[in-house]
Amino acid sequence: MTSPPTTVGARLAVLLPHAYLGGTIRLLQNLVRHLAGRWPGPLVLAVPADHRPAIAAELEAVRRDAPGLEIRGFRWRPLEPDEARALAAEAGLDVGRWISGRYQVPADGGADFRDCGFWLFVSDRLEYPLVPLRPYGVFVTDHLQRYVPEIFDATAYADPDSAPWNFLRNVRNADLVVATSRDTAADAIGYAGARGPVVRLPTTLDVDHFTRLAEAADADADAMLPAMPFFAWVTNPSPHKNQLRMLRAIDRYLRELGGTLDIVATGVWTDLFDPDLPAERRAGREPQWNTPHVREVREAVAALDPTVRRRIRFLGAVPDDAYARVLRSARFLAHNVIADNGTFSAVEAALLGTPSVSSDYPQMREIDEAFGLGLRFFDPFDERATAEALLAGESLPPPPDDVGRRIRDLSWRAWDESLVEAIGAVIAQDARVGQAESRPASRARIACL
Amino acid sequence: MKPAASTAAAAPPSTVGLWIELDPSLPAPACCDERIRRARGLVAGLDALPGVGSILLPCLPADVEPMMALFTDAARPDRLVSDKLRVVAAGRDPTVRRAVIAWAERWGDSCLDRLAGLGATASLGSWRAALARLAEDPRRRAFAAPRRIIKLMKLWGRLWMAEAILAVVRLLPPPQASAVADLRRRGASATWIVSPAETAAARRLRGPKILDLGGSAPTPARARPPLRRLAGAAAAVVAPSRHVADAVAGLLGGKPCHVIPPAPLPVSAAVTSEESGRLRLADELRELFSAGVRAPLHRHFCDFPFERADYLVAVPTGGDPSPLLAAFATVLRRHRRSLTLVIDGRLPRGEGPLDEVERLGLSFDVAEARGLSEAGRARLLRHARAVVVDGDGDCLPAAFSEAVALGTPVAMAGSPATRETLTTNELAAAEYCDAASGPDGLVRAILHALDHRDEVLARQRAILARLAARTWADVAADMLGLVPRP
Repeated sequence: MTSPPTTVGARLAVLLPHAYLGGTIRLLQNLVRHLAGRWPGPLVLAVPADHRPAIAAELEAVRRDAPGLEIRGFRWRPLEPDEARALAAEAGLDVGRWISGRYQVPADGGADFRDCGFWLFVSDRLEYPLVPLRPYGVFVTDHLQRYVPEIFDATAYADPDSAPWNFLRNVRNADLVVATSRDTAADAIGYAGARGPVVRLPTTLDVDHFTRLAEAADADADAMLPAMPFFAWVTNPSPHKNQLRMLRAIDRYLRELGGTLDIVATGVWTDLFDPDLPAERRAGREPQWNTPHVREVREAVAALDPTVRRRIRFLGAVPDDAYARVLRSARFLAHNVIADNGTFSAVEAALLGTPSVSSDYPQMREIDEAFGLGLRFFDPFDERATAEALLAGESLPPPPDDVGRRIRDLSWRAWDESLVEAIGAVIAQDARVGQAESRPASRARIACL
Repeated sequence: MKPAASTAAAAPPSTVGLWIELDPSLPAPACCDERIRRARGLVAGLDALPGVGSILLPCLPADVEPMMALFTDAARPDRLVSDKLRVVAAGRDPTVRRAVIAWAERWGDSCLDRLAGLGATASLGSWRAALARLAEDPRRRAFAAPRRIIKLMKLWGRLWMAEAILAVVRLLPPPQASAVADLRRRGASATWIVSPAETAAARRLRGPKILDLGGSAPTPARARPPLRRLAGAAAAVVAPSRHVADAVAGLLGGKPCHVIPPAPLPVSAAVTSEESGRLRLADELRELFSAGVRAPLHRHFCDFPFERADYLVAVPTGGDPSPLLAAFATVLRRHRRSLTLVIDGRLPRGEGPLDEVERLGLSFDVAEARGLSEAGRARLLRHARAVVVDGDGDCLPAAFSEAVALGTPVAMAGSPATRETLTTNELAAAEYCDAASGPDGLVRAILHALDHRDEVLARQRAILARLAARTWADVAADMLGLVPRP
């Protein structure tokens, strides 16, 4: 067995647990760039082997910024309980109770990351409980299922081997939790039951993305925009985006409150909400088209009064330049979720001179406070309040001018040493426990796994 | 409200007995049983009455030790709360019966656990979804669906077998009957204060009996035939409020019901000042959940860091817990208070409440804490952000005085009985709501108690001080005064 690095300066592995794209990849890139500049030892970036070609450009970009970086592909190796116990015993891992039906470890075809002193996962969405052969940390953006349980099938909560249980179990046993907001940090303790320290990073904002966006906004995307003034509704097909209440609020805004603006809905797969979407434009997306929630939203759209229905345009996902054009042309941006990890869409809009109305939840309050956006908040459970907020959005003043400066001040480039210090402390603690108990790689006792 | 009887003239009997029938399916008496905490108050009150020479507390042989632990004086751990108190063993040893019940319950829970592992529940309607999940299993092999159906049927059959065993055991003569027979054989005679029970065994005790409906007063919905039979054998029936007395009037066979309001329950003062109390509480809770059956409700909490997490405590009052759960879900999700709900005891059994927890997606937010020690329960109340009492509790429930004495505010959906105890001004406070106002009223009360903690606590301490003018000696004297002396 590979002997464990037990000192600060040990090899550090940053792992992408799933085939993510978009924002999570940008987060991964910036996290690696941050650690490459501050971590005193070698750095490994691990991505799912099958996913490597899909993000080759992003990996190359991060390799340019971090020349010493080692990039590995890996697969999850599922383990039956007996195998997990044997592996844990071999690694000197002290587990109080084994309570799960299946486990997993990352496998890279070589040392399986046991040559690293710490594993940092950029998401808590680990499908099965991890057998922690090394101390590990988890990056948690939110515990959405606590506030919107519908995102999982109801039977999953009764099945102790299902994803909702395992996500929490992996946070519970993590040696370090990295949270992106005050409330997520509170949920990591009060909901997931994290037993290790919780470190908070101020924001995970990608300043380069914003700079590109501001530059791209002049691109010609007028063809897809309505002729009438409009507001932009940024959403996606997940139930936590509160589409059904939003549609009822839009109906009230237009028909009862005399709202004057059209609506442009944009975001991944939002075009699937359009009941009149031609069959050829949904080709290859039949599973998403037939998702019960998407179908429900589509039915709600179809049931709208025709005068209302005509004033909503569903764009779907659009390229960055078109997205920037939509935001810049909109009278305001509407962000309506039941709960979330906070959206930077409102920051993007502010950068482009567009104000926003937002549902009221702690993470968004935190973003508003940090960036001084002057958001108009509403209760996402109250359709009348939402409709009134939409009406108020028509006369919102433009956002403050200093958003660009705040973005630079709050980007990942401004992260301090807290993450690096916390990882170092965990590794040092692990080394001390190992020495005290005269066992290689021995870990603090894990109560339940 | 005034007491029903004047007690000045009657001298108390020399021996008073307290009869509490524990739920035979539970492994041991527990301090979350309000009848036991009320009995502690009565013992303290009887101790102060000069004419009372001894206080009998009979219980089954296996319960003597845990019962004595529950009546131990916190200030003098080697003594009971009263030197006059005698916890006496009576009746057959219930160990075998309880072991069978525990085994059948564990068997049933294990079947439910395994059904959950297949994505199903005891309801046959869940099988369709469970079989649909099979299609997503990458390890799927030929004949997987028929095999899964057979497995589901086997588990379902075992589950109902376990239920059948429990039903048969319940049909056997209750152990309490043997306790009464034993006491009669030994010639034990006393004036008995009898708590509401599942059986009418107590009617055969020697001596006059007072049926005391305080603690867990039966509502018409929960009324059982034993109540009428117990009332028929009792010299007097007492209720803690006029509302409760009226509610049970039709169940007592014409027997009058006297109103005797309770006094605030004593709490362990040591808990309020200890420094490591929260950590000790967390350790005790984890031990409790680790020792429990491996049911989903427990597995999440067996290593939960209670010492780091904020929580609400809910005191079940025996009614439908749905409004409470709905109110908690709203406080958590709409008003974004990151809190766990700890039930002081457990939710009523049957599929309803637990299904409701799952349906609302609260499996990781609701914990049942039954079986805590006396000190552990006091710590649970002491370190809560607020205590919530919902439903048809009798007057101010005991948990009110305990929580407030321990420094925790109470949010309450008060019943008509509550209105007998509180003044109009006190009832106008935002931390109270009418039980009839449903979850929305309770949500407002909880939020007010959380957001104005100090203000609410100060107000509730003043109420407690007013209520404390009445002592358990007064309560005991009022009760004994109802029994004609020979």
